[in-house]
Amino acid sequence: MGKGLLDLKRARDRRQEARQAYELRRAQTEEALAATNARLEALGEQQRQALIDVVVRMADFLRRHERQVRAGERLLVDGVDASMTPVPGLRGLDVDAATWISGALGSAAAGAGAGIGVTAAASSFGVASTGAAISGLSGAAAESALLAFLGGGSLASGGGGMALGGAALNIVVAGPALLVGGLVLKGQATKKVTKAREYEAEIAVAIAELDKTDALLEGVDTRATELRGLLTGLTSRAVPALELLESEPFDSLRHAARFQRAMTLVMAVRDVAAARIVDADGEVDERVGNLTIRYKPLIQETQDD
Amino acid sequence: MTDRPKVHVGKVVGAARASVPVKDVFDALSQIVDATRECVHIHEVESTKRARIQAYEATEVARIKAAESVLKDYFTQAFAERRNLYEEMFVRLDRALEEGNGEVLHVVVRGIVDIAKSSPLADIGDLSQIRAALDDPDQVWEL
Repeated sequence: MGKGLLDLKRARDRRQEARQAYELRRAQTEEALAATNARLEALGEQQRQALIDVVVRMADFLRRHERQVRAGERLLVDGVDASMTPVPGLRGLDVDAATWISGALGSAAAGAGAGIGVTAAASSFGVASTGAAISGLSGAAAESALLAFLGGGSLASGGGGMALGGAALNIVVAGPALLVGGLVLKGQATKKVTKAREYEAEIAVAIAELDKTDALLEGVDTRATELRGLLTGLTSRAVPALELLESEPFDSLRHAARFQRAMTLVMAVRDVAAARIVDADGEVDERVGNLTIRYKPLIQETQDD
Repeated sequence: MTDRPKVHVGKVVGAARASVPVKDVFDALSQIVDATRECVHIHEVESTKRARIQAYEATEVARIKAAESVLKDYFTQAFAERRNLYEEMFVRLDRALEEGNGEVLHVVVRGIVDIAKSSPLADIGDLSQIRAALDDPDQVWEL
């Protein structure tokens, strides 16, 4: 029985260790997710600023010079969500606790059964040394007669008496009860060890999935860094081009080249600010693996039509 | 309880000592044998299950790890190549600005935008597709 109990305890310990390892690992991914979200928010803010500093400025310039402007919906990166498997087995542990208890109860019942059978048989078939049926006796008299019966009769009649009967009762009741109970418990423990192994496997797979999620997050990070770098590079060239364009009263004939240069850079800023993290033609919320990139509209501009 | 003489004239139950314990011992033995058999059966079944779980874990973890490794290599390579391209294109962009060459400026800027719009993350929704693509010699990687 001790081995069964030890196995049960080990199984529980293994599950707990596996769960703790997963929780620790998951916390790291949650941190990585938060960091990626911060990067995406920074990119979203940079997109907003670039659109205002360059695109909206050019739109205002055009309106000032009585040109028509049409602006489509502009989306800014808002953040990323990750769908991760919830910590496996938290509910499973509760269920297992119930099974564990029922297993322990089951072995106790089987053990008790063997003992009850013996005492019941003695009560039914035995006859006290007085000649009275044991089943007809009650209280202390019945107990004394029962013990003497199991001891081979009273001392006076040549039997082992109550003392030996008591010992016999203990052996008959406790021996099989312990053995059967121990075997049942051992069986339950063996199943629990398998369950613990299954849980460990689930955790190992879940941790591998977290590694994969981290790799995806790194990809998103690099993509965000790439877009930020491009926006910085293009904005830093577009702003001087706009400043030059606005530096003196606009003459469409004389300043056509300036206008073309500024417009080319403004369009580039517009397009790069609109470039998606994942897919140029993606939905508002785009997915990559188990990640979902969120976008929010830029609410700032006015438009002519 | 006092021993009175008439109490000792009862029938001695010698037979009970022989018959009832034997039956009980037999029952107990049967229970032990059944329980042992069940225990051995459980051990065999559970051993098989554990071997299956071990195989599942090894296969699944190796599969995910391989996909992760492919993904990392792909990102490293794709983003590095794009970085080089951007650097070259910005050099050409600045030259076009200096020279006041609107046509070249337009071409270079559109080149930058086109690369920027195509994300390396676009086609990796399903990692198994990546692995299949890597196994396919006809796969063309557009960078």
